[in-house]
Amino acid sequence: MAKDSISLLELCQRIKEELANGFGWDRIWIRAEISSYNVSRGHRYLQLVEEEQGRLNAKISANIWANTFQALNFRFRSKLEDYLQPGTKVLLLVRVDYHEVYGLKLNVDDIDPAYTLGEMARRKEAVIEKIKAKGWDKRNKKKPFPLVPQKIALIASSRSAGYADFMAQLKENSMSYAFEIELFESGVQGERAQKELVEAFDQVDPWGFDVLVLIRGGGSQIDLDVFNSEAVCEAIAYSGMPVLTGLGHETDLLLADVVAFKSFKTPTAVASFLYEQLYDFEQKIDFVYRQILDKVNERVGDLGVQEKAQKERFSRYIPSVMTAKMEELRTFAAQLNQATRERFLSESNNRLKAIGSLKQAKRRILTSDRNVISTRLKRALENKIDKEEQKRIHFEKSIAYLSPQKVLERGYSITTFAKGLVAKNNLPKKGDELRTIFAGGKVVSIFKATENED
Amino acid sequence: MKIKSYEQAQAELEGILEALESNEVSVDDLVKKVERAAELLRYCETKLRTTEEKVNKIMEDLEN
Repeated sequence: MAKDSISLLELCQRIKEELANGFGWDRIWIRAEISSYNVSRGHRYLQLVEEEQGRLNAKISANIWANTFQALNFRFRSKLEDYLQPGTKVLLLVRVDYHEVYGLKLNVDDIDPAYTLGEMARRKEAVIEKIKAKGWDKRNKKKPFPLVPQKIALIASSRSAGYADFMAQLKENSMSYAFEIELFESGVQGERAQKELVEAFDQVDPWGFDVLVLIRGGGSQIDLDVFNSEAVCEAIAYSGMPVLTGLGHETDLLLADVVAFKSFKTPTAVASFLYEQLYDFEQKIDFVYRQILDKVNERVGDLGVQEKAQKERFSRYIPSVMTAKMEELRTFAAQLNQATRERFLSESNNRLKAIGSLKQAKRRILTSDRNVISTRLKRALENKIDKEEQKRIHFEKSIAYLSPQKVLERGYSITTFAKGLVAKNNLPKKGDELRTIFAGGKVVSIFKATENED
Repeated sequence: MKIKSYEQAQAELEGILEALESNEVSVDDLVKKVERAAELLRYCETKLRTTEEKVNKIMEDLEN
C-alpha cells in the first residue's frame, strides 16, 4: 500500500462529519436568487445563485422535499409555486446536507415571503425613479390616437384566458365590426417573460398597425412583477404607436400601466374600448349624413314653395307636367326615402337590441344581488334605458318626416317643362307644355305668359 | 373620386354638409352631393366591417 492514505469513501465520510459538527448550528436563513426551478415526483429542485453585476459569485443546488413543499404551500395559500420562479430573490431556512454519492446540497425547511416582496418593491422604486428621470410616463401618451383603431398588434400568450377573452369580445361584437389582429406570442410570466416581451415589442412593425395591445389573464403579485421591469417599461415608452394595457390585476399600480398610452383593468375592457371607438366614429359620420339628408329635404321643400306661388299666378292656365327632370327628382326622392328608411330601421333595431340587453342586464343585476346594488346605479340604468327608448322614437318619427310624399302633402307642387324646372332663370316659352305634380296627382298645361313680380 | 381613408371620408362628409348649410349647392348638384354622401358613408360602413384585404378587393371591383 502506497504511502499513508484513506479511501474516497473515508474522505467523504470525514467531510460529512466535519460539516455536521463544524458549523455549530443545524439550520440557517440565507439570501439567494433562484436561477432554475424543476419539479419531479412532488420534490422541488432549485438552483440558487448569487450574482453581482452579471458575475456569478456563488452557486449551489437546493431541494424542497415533497412533504415540506406541501406544508409550506398550505401556508402560502397554494401560491408558493409563484414565489419559486427563476429570477426571484428569496430568503430560505436551509440545512446543509452532504451525501457521499450525491454531494453537497441544501434542504429547504422554510421560506420568508416578506423578503421577496420587499426585494421586488425596492427594485420597483428604482424603476419608478428611472421613469420619472427619462420622462417615459409621458412618451407614449403623446402619440396621436387613430380615428378608427382597427389594426391591432397584440402581445399576449395565446394560452392565457385573457387572450381568449379579448379575442371573443372583438370577434363577436354586435355591430359586426372587423378587427385585424396580429398576435405576437409572448410568455407573460416566469423567467423568460421579460425577454420574450421585449422581443415581441421589437417585432411589431410600427407602420403596420393602429395600436398595440398588451394583455394577460391576471395572477399573483409575483407573477405581475415582470410588468414592473425596466426593460418592459422602456419597450412600451418607445413603441411606435399607442400602447393599451389590460393586465388583469386589482392590486397596486403596475409600471407598465403607468407608461402606457392608456391602461385598463382587464383584456375585456381594452376590447370594449376599441369597439367603442369604432361605434363612436360610425355614429358621428352617420349624424353628419343625416344632417345632409335633412338639408336636402329642406331644399326640396323650398322648391315647392316657389312653384306654388307661380301656380297661383297662372291659376287655371297651368296644368301639370312630368318631365324627365321631374321623374329624376322623384326617383331620387324615392331612393332617398328608401335609403333613409333602411338606415333608420337598422338603427332602430340596434337600439332595440341595446335596450333589450340593458334591460336584461338590469334584471340580472337586480335579481342576483338586490341588496348590493345602490339606488344610484339602478337610477343610472333606468335613465340609460329611457334615453335609448327616446332616441329610438325620435328616429322613427324622422322616417315619416323625410318622406317626399309628406313634402308634397304640405301643399307644395313642382312644375317642370322640357328644359327642366320652371324658375326665374329658366322660363318656358309661349306654347310650351308644362307638367305639375302635387299630392293628389299631376296636370299638364300650356304656357301662356309670365306676369311681372309687381 | 377614390376614397382613401376614414379621415378623408369624414372631412368630405362634413364639407358637403357645410356647403349645403351655406346654400352653395345648386339644385342640379343636390343629387350629386347626396349620392356622394351616401358613397362616403357606405365606404366607412363597409370598411368598418371588412378587413383591409377585402376592402381593397371591393374597391377594385367597383372601379372596374
